[in-house]
Amino acid sequence: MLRRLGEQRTALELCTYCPKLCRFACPVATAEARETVTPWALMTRAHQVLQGRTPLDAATAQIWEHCTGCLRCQRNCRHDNDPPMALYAARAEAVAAGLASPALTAWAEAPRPSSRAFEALPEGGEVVVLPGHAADEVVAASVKLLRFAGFAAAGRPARGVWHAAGRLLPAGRPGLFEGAARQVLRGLEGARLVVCLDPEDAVTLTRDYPRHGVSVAAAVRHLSEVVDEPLRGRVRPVLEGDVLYLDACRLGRQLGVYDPPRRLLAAALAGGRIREAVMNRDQGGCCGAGAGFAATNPGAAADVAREAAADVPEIPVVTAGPTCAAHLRRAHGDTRTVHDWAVLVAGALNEELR
Amino acid sequence: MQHSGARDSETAALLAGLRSDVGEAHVATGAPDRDAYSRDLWPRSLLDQIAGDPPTLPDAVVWPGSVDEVAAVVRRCAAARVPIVPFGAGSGVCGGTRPTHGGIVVDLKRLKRLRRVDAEAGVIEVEGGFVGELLERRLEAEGLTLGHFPSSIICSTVGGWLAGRSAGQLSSRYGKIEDMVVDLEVVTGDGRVRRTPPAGAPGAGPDWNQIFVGSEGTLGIITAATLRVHPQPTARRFRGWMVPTPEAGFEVMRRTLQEGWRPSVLRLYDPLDTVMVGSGPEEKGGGRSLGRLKEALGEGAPALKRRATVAALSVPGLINRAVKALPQRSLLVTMCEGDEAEAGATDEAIARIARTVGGRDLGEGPGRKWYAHRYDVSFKQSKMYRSGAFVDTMEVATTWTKLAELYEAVREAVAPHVLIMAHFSHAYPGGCSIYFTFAGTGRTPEEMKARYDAAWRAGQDAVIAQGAVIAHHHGVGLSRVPYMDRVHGEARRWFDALKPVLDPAGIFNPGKVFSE
Amino acid sequence: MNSGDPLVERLRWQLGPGTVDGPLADERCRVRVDGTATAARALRLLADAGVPVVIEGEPAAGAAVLTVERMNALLGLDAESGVAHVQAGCTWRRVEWLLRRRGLTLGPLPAWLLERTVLESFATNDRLRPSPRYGQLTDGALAFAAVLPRGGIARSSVAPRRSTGPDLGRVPVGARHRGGLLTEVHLQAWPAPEARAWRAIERPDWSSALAAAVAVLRAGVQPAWWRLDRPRPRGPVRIWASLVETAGNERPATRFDAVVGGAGIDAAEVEAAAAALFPPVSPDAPRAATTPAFGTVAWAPRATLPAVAAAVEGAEVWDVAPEGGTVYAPAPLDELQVRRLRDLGAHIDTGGDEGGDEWQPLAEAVFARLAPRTSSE
Repeated sequence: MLRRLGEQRTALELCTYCPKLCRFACPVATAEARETVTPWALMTRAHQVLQGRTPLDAATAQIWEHCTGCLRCQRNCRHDNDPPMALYAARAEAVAAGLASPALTAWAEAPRPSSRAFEALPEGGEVVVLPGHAADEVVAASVKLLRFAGFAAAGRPARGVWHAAGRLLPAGRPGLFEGAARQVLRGLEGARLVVCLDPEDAVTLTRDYPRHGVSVAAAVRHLSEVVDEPLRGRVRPVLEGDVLYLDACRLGRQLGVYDPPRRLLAAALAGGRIREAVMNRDQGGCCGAGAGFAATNPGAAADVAREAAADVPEIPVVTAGPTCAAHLRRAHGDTRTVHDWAVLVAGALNEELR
Repeated sequence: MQHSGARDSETAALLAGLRSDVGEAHVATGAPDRDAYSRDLWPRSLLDQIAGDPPTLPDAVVWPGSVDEVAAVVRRCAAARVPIVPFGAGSGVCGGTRPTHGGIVVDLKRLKRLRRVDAEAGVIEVEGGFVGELLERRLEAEGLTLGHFPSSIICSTVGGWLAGRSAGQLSSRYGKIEDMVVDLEVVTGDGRVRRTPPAGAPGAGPDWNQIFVGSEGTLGIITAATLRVHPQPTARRFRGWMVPTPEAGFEVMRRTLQEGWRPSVLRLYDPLDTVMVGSGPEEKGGGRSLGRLKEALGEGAPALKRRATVAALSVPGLINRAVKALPQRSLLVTMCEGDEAEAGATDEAIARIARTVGGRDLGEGPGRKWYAHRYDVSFKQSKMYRSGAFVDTMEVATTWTKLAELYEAVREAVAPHVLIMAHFSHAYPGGCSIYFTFAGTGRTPEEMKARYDAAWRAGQDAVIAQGAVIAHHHGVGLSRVPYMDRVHGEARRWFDALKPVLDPAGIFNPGKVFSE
Repeated sequence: MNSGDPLVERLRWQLGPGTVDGPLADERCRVRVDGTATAARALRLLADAGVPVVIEGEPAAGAAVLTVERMNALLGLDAESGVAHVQAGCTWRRVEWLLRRRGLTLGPLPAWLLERTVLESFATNDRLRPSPRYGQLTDGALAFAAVLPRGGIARSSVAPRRSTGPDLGRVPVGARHRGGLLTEVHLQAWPAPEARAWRAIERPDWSSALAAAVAVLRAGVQPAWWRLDRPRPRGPVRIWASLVETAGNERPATRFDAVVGGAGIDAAEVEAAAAALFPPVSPDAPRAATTPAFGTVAWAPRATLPAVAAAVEGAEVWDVAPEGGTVYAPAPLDELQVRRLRDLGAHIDTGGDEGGDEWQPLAEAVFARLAPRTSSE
């Protein structure tokens, strides 16, 4: 009887009775220009469902998909409320009511991209790489960065684990998520350090696993954190002109990693400088791909991506999340160059200093 | 539709037309959209919601993407005589966007271009759907500021500010929004896009800028505005003063402004609000009973707090009498800005005046604290409602001479119904606004609504009896409609003459500002 | 003496003796109202009788002429708030004189304004007092009372700002009495300044002079009064400014000097000019020989303001704001000049008919709805 939603009652009430104080912060509501998809309205609707005043129907389930889990709302909430978590619970209720979104399910269950670079890694070891949904090119570049940074023995997790199964939560499958988390945990046995190429995996391992009673013993870091120090002075200025750096929500706002990717990126610029969007760092925009939004609402998600980069037009965009970079690229099409941070920095490594 | 009683087929035809005007994706008739646009942030609507009263829904929500599309929507609705409720971000607190007659909500947030920034001339042209916080950050990046910082800046739009005569926290330096307008782009009821003559331009006839500003969507849809902007200040000076009485605080504010100084913040808290906001060592004052009240309304263990809040608010008369026994000292927070010389000179001028009334310098702490938390107070609303209480604010204004009397009269009038406190934060050479905050409770949602209504009636009646102004910057919406005829008397005929000329089909936000 | 005209007798009975001095058909006849209540009665009676009313204007066939010269009292003074409650028939000279006796002022009042009535200024929305410090006189009203064309009395509460719908008090402002007869105004007054510093500097052309003026405003200095003029064609442009000083605050003048320091004009010349511009306001003081026959007042945006000023012979620029300014042309402009200036984005008051202004028909429609019904309605 809406148990999971009931567990979110406090969060729902805080938003329902709030005078929309995170209105400006939601990149989805801003891009869609639509009150219906503000955290305030999404949470109010979930509250109404919980109270039995609004039916849990397809239209309601569909509207709950309008969240990327970027948490800019929480960053601007003095209650530290977490609307995405409540909305994932609401999505779980929708799934339980037979209202699962095929697009969301397909996104959650999408096979990982094949990666020869990943498969070439030895299995196990103290340092393991979690590629997430990064493409082979990104994985290869990341492995190169790791090797240059002194992690020559970096391996891959056992048992075929390649991501943290974090997509199952926003897909409204918390039960499957908990089962998958335990599988992942077994795959990480023996590791002291897990290097995530996709910040989303780092967030899943460090934030969502403990919430669901799963504890990761190893240290969990994003790639940019572990290569930052070792690679200083080893990156050549190869890229002409200015670039716009966009913080990936999970890497910046949720893991607090802002400067390491900027430092190595700055070293790769020949004469140009890193430009910032008006809303940057902990207030940075969103690529629109998170929490399955690009799968369920591709048009709106592309708008979110374009808005994030709109303040500083034309120049290339760089971001340090492979999923973000891929979606930003898709959203901009031929109109703008989007670099994956790892690929760009790997291309600027000074081979002579190896 | 409800307004016209048209048949379903007419509704379908209208919607089809609207879809052709703005695109299929920008017309919504689904339940989540209609529900989300059925209310703004009027606390009375929240009480209705708590009581389970279903709101009146709009028939559809439309998102035009350009001023021409707004005009097309207006023409189509005018032809069908279907009401239009213009909508910004729905942060109004008077019910101004409640679609009481059904019809079409026209959300303007797709009109969010900053069309022009002329730093040298100090003007921008911005579309009405731009969200305030995002605009201010854009301007900040260019070394500019509009200087308009309402506490709703994070959830309101430029068009909404203009429609409701909004005031920002720095109004004593930059003015209210009506003081910033150079000209407006509006769509009138005939579906034409018009630009008002610039403020200051000679010409016959009404000052159209000041007719549309404050019209709350009843005379036209504001789609863009040319507004004055200023260079970002290069220096800020903060300070707090503890003055012996509120009246001593009025004296400091009044003399400062009449001497021609332009501090950006002059914010005086009444004795209860002084205790609530705290001011360093002073917050220990007020005795144990007050400490308990503060705990109830502010910080404290949640469960205890809930019970204490409801208990305290269920006897408002008693608590208000206890508050009267408080020491009368009042906190005055100031912020001066400009360049170093201007900020410093203004700060020193205030100091000179404050000392003459026995003000005690608390240093920059209270000012900095206020600045760091200037938007935080609204976050308390959720906790209050969760604990079974309601809160609302009532902003009124008068001249300096009548300010103390108005303050007492309103407190006296609402004291039997709710706990009340106030601050004085929008000051002018000739007078000042009073921003009352009140909180109450009831055993049932119906009783809460009755108390809420009684407090508003008593408060507004007291304001009218004092010859003061019933609203300083929140507007009229629905909540103040019952008082408007008494306030305006025959002046209403001017509105009655304007309305059919600017809105011949009578479709713009019916039932708002003035009763039909 | 009974006039034999029942309407005149009713007017006299309702307005008091000495208020109507002849049969209405006589073009010398005036209906002299002394306050809001009598004005309301007069307008109601005349409206009911279907007699058109001319306010403070030339007689027209079949119309009654209503005058406000008896409406010249200071109804109240709230010295603490600095709010003067005046009847609209007061001249600015009278209001200022009454205020000065109490240590208050409306701010600088140039000679050409002194003999104008409050009503004239508001009814034409004149922009004749360029003062960043004190603002336009017509913008400084905290409240008003007015009689609508059909005789109803509109009265607003007194407050510096409000949020109670459109600013309906602005309907009769600039409406040349067609929106109603403004009868009382609450004006913002200020402590009379302890000292006033004058400055006058020169710049080579309009562009640089206007840039200097904007720089002054940007520096947070608000002159109490200022004007830019160019006495000789293609000669330097002068900026005249009056800066208020209060005890311990010499900032405006020193900041002004810091921002636009440069070639100054001889002090004696400045003082002489100031004395001519601002004659004493006491009732005994000699009045300005004439209220100048005003030329044309135009407003132009910042971008084209220098070009507009340069295009007008003998132009003076008043009321400079960062976004634009008012250009005063001493001689009336011909049609060609008006068109040329409008092409430069200027807004020009040509006496009521704005020639193609899209707002004019709307204003007309609003006034028509306010006008008394004719017998055929």
